[in-house]
Amino acid sequence: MSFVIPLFLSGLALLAWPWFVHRIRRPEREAVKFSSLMFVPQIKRETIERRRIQNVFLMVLRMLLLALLTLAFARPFREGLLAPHASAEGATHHVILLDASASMGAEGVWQKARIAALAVLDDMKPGDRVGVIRFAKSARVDLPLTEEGVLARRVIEEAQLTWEKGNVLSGLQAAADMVSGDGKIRRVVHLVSDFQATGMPTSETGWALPARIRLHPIVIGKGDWDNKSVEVVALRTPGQKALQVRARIRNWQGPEDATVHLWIDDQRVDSKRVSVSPRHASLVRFDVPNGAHTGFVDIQPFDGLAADNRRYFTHEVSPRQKIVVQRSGRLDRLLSAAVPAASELPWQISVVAEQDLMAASFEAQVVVVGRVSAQNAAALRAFVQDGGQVWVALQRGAILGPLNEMLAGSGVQVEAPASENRKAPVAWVNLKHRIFYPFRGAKFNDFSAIRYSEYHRLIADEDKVLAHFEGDEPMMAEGQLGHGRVLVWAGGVEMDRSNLARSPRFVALIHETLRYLAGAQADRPALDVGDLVGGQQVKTPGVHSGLIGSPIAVNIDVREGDPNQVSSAELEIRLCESPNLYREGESHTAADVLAGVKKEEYGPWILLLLLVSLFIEHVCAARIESHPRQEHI
Amino acid sequence: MRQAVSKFIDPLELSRISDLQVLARTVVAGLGAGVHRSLHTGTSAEFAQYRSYAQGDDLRFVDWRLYGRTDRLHVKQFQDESNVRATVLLDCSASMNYGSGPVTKFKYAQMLAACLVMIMSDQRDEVGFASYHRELVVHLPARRQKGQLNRLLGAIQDSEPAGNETDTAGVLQFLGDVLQPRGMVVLIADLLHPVEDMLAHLRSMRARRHDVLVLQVSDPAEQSFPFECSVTLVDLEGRREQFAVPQDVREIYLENRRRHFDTIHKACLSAEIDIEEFVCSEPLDRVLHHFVNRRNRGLLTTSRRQGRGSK
Repeated sequence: MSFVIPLFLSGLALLAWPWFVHRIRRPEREAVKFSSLMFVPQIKRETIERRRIQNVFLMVLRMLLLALLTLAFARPFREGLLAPHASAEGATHHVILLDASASMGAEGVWQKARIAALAVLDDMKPGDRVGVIRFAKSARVDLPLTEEGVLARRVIEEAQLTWEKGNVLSGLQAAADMVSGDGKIRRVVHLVSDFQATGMPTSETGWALPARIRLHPIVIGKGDWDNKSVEVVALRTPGQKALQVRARIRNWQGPEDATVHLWIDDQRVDSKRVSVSPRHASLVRFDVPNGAHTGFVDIQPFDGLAADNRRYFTHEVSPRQKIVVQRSGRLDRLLSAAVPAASELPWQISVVAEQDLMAASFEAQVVVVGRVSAQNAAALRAFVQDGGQVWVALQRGAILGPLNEMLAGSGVQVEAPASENRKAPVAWVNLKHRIFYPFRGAKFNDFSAIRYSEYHRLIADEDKVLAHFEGDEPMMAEGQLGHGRVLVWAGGVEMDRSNLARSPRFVALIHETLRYLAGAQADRPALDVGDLVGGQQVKTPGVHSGLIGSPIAVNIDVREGDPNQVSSAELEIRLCESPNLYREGESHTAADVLAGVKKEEYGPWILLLLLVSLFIEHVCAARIESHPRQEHI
Repeated sequence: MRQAVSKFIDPLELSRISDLQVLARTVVAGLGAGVHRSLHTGTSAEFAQYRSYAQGDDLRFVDWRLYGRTDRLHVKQFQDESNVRATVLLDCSASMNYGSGPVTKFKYAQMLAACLVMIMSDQRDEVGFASYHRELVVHLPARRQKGQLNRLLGAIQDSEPAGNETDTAGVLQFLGDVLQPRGMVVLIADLLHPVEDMLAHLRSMRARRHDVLVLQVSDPAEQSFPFECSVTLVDLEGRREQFAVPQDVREIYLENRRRHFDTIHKACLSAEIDIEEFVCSEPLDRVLHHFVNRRNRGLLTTSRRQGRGSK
């Protein structure tokens, strides 16, 4: 009998606990002087003996319970024979599945992996066919099934690592596809991998390697290499002229001390010593002048996995956008209050009178209005068509004629409010839209507390609606007009019409709306090797300039540095229909796999025993408690 | 020896108790004048009763004002004052050495005995002391002489719990033989032994017109049997060991104990013997105050007896 996770067997030390408790609570051990025993009833000797036996039985039962619990975690299994293979004597299709993720670049691991793969070829018999697949984030078929062993040998010898993160699932799926077909042929997938925990699927995938395909796991490396990684590089601009580069250094395992360098535009500008305990992270800050920078942070000396010792970043300085707000009602005051003119904000707001609106909008990116007058309608329409952004937060008494004239062709039209005094909560928002993207969390995505008592009716196509009132009337709609956009809110932000301005979401919503309209770039998402950028897959880490307009930083997935491994048994349980469970650290040849040795877990039996023992223990303890423990003379 | 006094009785405690008077309600004949009422009328200042004049009565005691109102001769009789010959009997058996708290039963009994000796000595009573376990250990006969108090307190202080058994009956039998009738006997004991013989000898003492007080000393743990885990109990007398599961035996223990002391209390009640339980956890002065007040108010057996006798 072997165990899937033998580490849990250390829990057998818990068996000492019942023994300890029963021993220290043994009444014979505790002698108490008492004034007189003339009132204490004498106990029968048989009762003492019976009690002792009951206690020993209870102790053994409790030890058994703990042992079963430990076994349940350690998951024992036994070897058995699989059902006879369809063609045990015939040819076999082998798929060599090579893990080519960045973590395989740890010291000597890739070389060992190729040697192990070549050893599989040595075990092949005449007539067998072999295919080679490398996998990382996705799988690549390097060699389809062939009888040419020499060809397979050359492919393996020339196989190159990638910088991508590992994804065992993609590799197994590709291998299963390669050997799908006639069911009478033996199929074996030789998985050569470091079995890094981060390469495993994080949740149930619903897919499993079919039972007719045997999996032969070949574990390379023990995950014992030293590694530190630059986990995150974040940029912050505390002022217009300063840039703070913050790097989080993680020590997965190994020595604590290292030197962190900041490189900008191919020049080393700063270095700092850092000391990080194993399994901990530390923050390092560099202050540099603000500007358009590309660079990286790296750790010296390079360790077992050098690929994650460096992390690239880019920084751009975007000009501050100008936003013009029409002075009307309370709109301008509330907006000014919600968006203070802080130096870090990527825009500046100016409030102008209605007659000065068009003159002021000449330099502006965004115009915010509560109503559209006949004089401004044509000019606003031209402003939008030229690429400007207009946000119409309809205030009470807005004249609809010029507004609809301006909106003509945008797909959004406005109608007068219904005669009755309607009150409606916001029932739905499009959380996939950029404005509502930050509100996706469960704590923030409920807008139903925001109510409008009087609002205009918007007529818009469903795909242009960003938010609904209860009853499916649009609350917010967006239209395209020429090169620009028009965003229309059915109601303004005045507090006598809506409680929006009192809502905790108000400031965030105004910020996100202005950020969206001003086109300010959100923090650029972190790109990993293997991600698609501009329709192309990025294959190497670094700063790439030609993929999109501006340079972008691409790094390897930081989790590749995590040396934690999963057992091959766990992988098989999660990804195989008929897992063959192997002992930790025990090597198995292809012949073992082909012998059809099946290992079955005792899980259900242990669970059953555990429940039965628990029941017996409960009953016994209850009986001992309920019966008089002393039968007196 | 004065140190012994201060050791046994806290001066503050003593000051609290000194205003109390242990008044024996059994009128005993005494040699000297004390605060205890004698059966005999005498020459003290406290008026007792009128009696019709008889030939030979002293004319000084004729109440002439009453004669003026009733035209009959009556003489005034006065309560004669006398002291009591009291013996404090202290149980020194090993079971008295038990204490679940800081004060053992024996220590408590020592203090109780010392207080009683002090109070009665202040009342100019003749006080004696005896301690015993399996046999009589110390016996100081009741005296009213100089230095008697110090001797008594020294003897109390020097007493130590010992012995593997208690023979209260034998000691009572001995004292019954040597004590003069119409005295007071104060027994301070835990009464944790078979009591049939003891009760017989107590009754015998009552028959000899002694005023008998039984002060039973108990520990809180004896009253409630508060053990939680299974224990092996070791008897302080005899060193016998016995395993017990408290949850199982507590009820029986309490029932046995209640029955035992009910027997004693009923026997004492029928024999007109005062009996009171003292618990070690209670302040001594408060308990004494309570006991003496109760005794003076006639709530105890002798009070009832005296009330019945006065009719």
